[in-house]
Amino acid sequence: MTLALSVLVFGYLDIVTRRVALKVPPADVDDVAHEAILSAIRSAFAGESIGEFRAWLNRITLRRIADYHRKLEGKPKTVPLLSGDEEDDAGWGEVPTTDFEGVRVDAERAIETAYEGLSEAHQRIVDAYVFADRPASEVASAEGTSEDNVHQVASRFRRRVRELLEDGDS
Amino acid sequence: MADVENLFRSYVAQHRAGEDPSEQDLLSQVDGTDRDELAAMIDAYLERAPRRAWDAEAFEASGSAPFVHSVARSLEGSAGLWPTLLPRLRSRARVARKDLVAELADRLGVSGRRDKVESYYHQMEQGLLPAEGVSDSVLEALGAIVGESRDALRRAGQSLGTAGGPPGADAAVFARTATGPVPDEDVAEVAAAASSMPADEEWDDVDRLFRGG
Repeated sequence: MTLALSVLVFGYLDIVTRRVALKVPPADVDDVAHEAILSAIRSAFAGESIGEFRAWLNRITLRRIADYHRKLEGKPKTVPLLSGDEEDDAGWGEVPTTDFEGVRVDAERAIETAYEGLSEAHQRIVDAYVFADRPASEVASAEGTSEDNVHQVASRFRRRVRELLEDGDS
Repeated sequence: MADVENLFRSYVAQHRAGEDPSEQDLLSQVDGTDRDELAAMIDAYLERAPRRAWDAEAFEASGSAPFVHSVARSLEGSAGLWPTLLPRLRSRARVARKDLVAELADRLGVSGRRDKVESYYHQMEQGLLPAEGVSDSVLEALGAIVGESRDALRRAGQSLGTAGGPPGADAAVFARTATGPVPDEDVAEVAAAASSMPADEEWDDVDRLFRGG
């Protein structure tokens, strides 16, 4: 089991940690990321997860980030005076952090909304060209369309995301 | 002010090349709606990004091994999520283990048996102590120290039921028969813990607190 877990954790921890780092102060990133991975693995082993592991992990990650911010409300922001080895029994202390300039916790909804507004063909174009960084010529060929159209679809998608963010209507 | 699309493309290219781009460095180059847009785009990319292919050497270098072992102990042990949760709560509360043990012993009224409390607490963190045997008094006191409720600790300690972990007082049997997925050092630790446990008729107050339910 340990090898299987290692493969799973190695495969996803970096991605989850980076997602958490966008919205959580550095001192708490590992904590929240580990909690998300653990929750997803636990659910998978207990047969409680819905759909494939990756989709479940994505959902759990957002939930843990939201939980973090809910718990944080009203609490002073602190970071450990000492960091690193948990087994180090030297004393701990607390100092106030400088403000962490996080991003909107719900910013991803703008992407979801804009993405869901696309046709399936255009979603494939956005997936391949915008998020998988494949060349426009290759995407155009795969989708039987022109490079110009690929650029236009991507551009419309980005414009829609921006509108939603500006409106706060995402 | 940098262009959001260029920053995003640069991030994706670096990440896909196996580099270590800093999200915060990129985000610091924009503000307002640009910043929200860039963060949302990066997040959407990561949501879809392929997981890293297995690389044993890179895994060892990543420092993730202790976390994986704690997860394994949670899945295979008899104390649910305690092996992952308790060290994390202790760390979050900024309490060193020796201080936590001293405080726990004091709160339980067994200050004179601190060594024994330490041994039991260690077993809790390692997933070696059956959670159902740990009394509410211990969880109440522990929760007060690390900032978690007794009920939450109790729920976290419920077995995940994914494998035949150390079945209570039969931990030594598990230690003798466990193979494969459980690291040797864990087996040795279970055996040592089991052999150090007194028989029921020799229990003192500390044993009853941590094993009597």
